[in-house]
This record gives sequence, C-alpha cells and structure tokens, in this order.
Amino acid sequence: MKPFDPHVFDREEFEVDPFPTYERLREELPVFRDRVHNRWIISRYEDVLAAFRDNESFDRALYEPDGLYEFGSGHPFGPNILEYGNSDRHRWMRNIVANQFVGKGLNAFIPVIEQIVEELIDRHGDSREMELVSEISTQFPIRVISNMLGLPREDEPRFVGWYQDLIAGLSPKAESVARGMRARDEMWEYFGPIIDDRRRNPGDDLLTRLVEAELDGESMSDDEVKGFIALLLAAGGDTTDKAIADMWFHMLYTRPDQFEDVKAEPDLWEHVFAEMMRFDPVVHAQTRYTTEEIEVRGKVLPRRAMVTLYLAAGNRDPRVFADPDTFDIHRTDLHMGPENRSAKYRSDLPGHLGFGVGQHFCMGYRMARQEAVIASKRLVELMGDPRPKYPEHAGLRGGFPDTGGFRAPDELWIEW
Amino acid sequence: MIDAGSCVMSGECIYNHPDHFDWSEDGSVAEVLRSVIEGEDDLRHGEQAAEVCPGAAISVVDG
Repeated sequence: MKPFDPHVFDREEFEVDPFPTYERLREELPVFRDRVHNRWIISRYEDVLAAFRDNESFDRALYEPDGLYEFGSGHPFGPNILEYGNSDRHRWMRNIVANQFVGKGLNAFIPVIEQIVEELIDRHGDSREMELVSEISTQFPIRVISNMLGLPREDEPRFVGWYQDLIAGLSPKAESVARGMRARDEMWEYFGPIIDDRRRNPGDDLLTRLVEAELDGESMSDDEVKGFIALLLAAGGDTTDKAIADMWFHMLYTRPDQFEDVKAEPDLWEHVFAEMMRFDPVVHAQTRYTTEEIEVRGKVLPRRAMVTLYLAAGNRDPRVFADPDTFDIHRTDLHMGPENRSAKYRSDLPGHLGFGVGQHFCMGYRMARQEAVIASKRLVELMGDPRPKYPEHAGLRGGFPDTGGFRAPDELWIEW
Repeated sequence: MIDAGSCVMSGECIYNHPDHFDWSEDGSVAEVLRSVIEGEDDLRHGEQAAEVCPGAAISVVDG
C-alpha cells in the first residue's frame, strides 16, 4: 500500500473528485497529521460531529486577544464575526441577526423571496432554454440578502460582482486574493455613507439592527459593521447560489429518474436539498484550532493545532449511511427535515453535517433551504418538463483545501 | 417556559444560554434549568432565547 501523499489536496484531481481521497483517509487514516499543510485531518462522521460539538477544545478562530494574529488583517471579508471564535462577543453579534433567518422573522420575508424569483423569471422572457447559473442561481440569493439588509435595489448588479470577488479572494492564488481585496476596498467606500445614513434614519432592516445593537453600552464600529455586511453578502449570496445549482445538477445528471418523482411531487425538493447537503455539500470542510492538547482515536493533537474537519467525508461514512456513494432522495437513513445545530432529531435519524453543528452552525440554514426550495419549485412550474440541453456535463468543481472547496457546476443549460 | 410540542430541538437556547437551558433527561426536548427568573440577567437570557427559538417554543411568563 502506497503511503498517503498530502500533495493530492493541491492537485486538480482533488478539485474534480475528492471522494476517493476522503475514503482513503476515513477508512485508513481517520486522524491524519498532514505535514505538508501543517494541519490535522478528521474525516469520520462520529469524529467530525464530536469535534463540532466540543466547542471548548476546538475553536473556530485563530484570533486571541493576547495572540500574534492581528484581528481582521488576513481576511478579504475584513473584521468579521467568525474571527471572534467561541466568545461571548461572537454569540452577541450572531444573535443580532440570527432570528431574522428563522421562524417568524423569516416567514415575514418569504413574500419578498417569492417576488425576487418572479422578477428573475420575468427577465428571462419567452425563450425555452436557460443557463441556470448566470440567470438564476448567482442572481437570486444575493438579491434576497441585500434586500434583507435594506440596501438600494438599483445597486444589486454591483453586489453580484462583489460577492463573487470576495469568494474568489479566499483562494490561495495571488491574483484572486487581489481581486477579493479590490472588492473589499470598493465596498468599504460604498458602505460608509449608507451606514452613516442608517445611524440617522433607522429603518426596518438588518443594517439598522447592526448599527443600533449595543453590548454593554457600546455599538459596533463602522469597520465591524462593514465586515458583517461583507460576510452576509458573501455567505448569503454564494453558498445558496451553489446549493441551487448543485441540486439542479443532481436532478439533471445524477438522478434524472428521481427528477421525475420531484416534478410529480414538488415537496420532494426538500429531500433533494437534504440529500445534496449530505452527498456533496457546497462546503466540504471547516477549520478549527485546538485550545488544549486533546486525544482523538489515540492520537494526541497539540494545543493550537489547525484541524480540518472534512464533513463531506463524514457524510459518506458507511458506518452511518447505507450505500453512501449513491445520491438517493428517498433514502430512509437520513433526516430529511430542517437541520438544527444540536444534530439531535426527533426522528432519531442522523442528519447531514453540511451546515456544521454546535456553536458555529450556519445561521442561514433555514433561509438557504427556503430559498432553494422556493426557487426550484417555481422554475419547474415555469418550465413544465425541464431537461438537460447537453447530454454530458463536466461535473461539479471544488476549490482549495484552505477554503473548504465550495462545490458547484460552472454552468448548467436547461431546455424545456 | 418551553412548550414541548413546539420544541424542534434546534439547540439554539442550549448553545446560547447554557446556564439556563439543557436537554431533558431522555434528550427528547429542551428544558429550562432555572424556571424562576431572578433578576435582570435571567430575564435577558429568557427573552433572547425566546427571540431566537426557531420553533417559537419559549416564552417568558408572569407568575
């Protein structure tokens, strides 16, 4: 047996199909010291879940008040909530907006979500073919989140460009980082006057909540508000964009047989969402830093070790899901209902790990599912009987080990 | 108080307010650890938890 070569993470084969690598790690090297990238890798479902839950030992942020890392310095998103790790400040900042993405706050916003889908569909016109990525998925979630923030609707085309630049900035390639930082500079300038205006003229939107929120009598600095906006635009725009494209890719190419079931019973889009988040989620990995020396499966991880949790490898763990490499919207061993941050479900079924679990569980989880399902249902209504325009597709592509490799198709042509 | 029927086990209250909420013994529902509100701090925790609960299962009541 050849020793495992961590250079595989930097090769194109991993970008195209990381699953053989995940399988090798999960089955043979479940706790792996990757000396090339100076990190540890955890890949079994049980271990990834345990690490997500153990917020005491596995922190999200590199930043510590007494540490070497300067706050917000290394990130194209600027100073943002994630860099506060597991602190009370993170908790406070998260909850300024979290309740708008779930429950009553979200329900009140659903008419706007529906309206934005309608506008994009109207814009498409009478043609009976569509490139889904450029016409819908990259246009839709960013408009939802910028609308929620209360940003001017006429500037939406700029937000579409910016969020894609910010995400590109997460790449290790120098020209991509420069692209991200350029967008950051433009955004910082753009948002200054808007923030000033909201401080004077509060409205009924997320931006007003951000500028008005106070912790111990202090509100956020302009830089913190800008970092928060950048994170919401990038996270709210990009991940749901890719979730929609990935769901459609699997229906058009992976399981056209099950697409017939979904066309007949549109509520099954909920299952498509859940199974996509298990089978090949948008985000494959999350980074943590150990706060103390900790033992996992007999290996000792030192304090402040970087740890990559390959949740996408855990999602294919045969110890948890039968026939894990098959995409199946009817599988009975996955919790298909709404996700939660505790990973305990009344159904007693295991959930996917695609949104993380615990302290940093995705706060947009409910909104992402709602957007993806609402848009997909509406598109099928419009198209009637959508099918792939081309019989072959190059498949999903991912990115880089340090960003988690956001997975999506470059383009997706549909005709009806 | 928590309405057991509305609890969707999202875990929001437990992660955000670990001193005030935990899982019930059999893990089937969240429960309030300190059901009597003593002072402003408890009240703040209760109100925040009620606001972010996706199931709208938590309420702060008089009496």
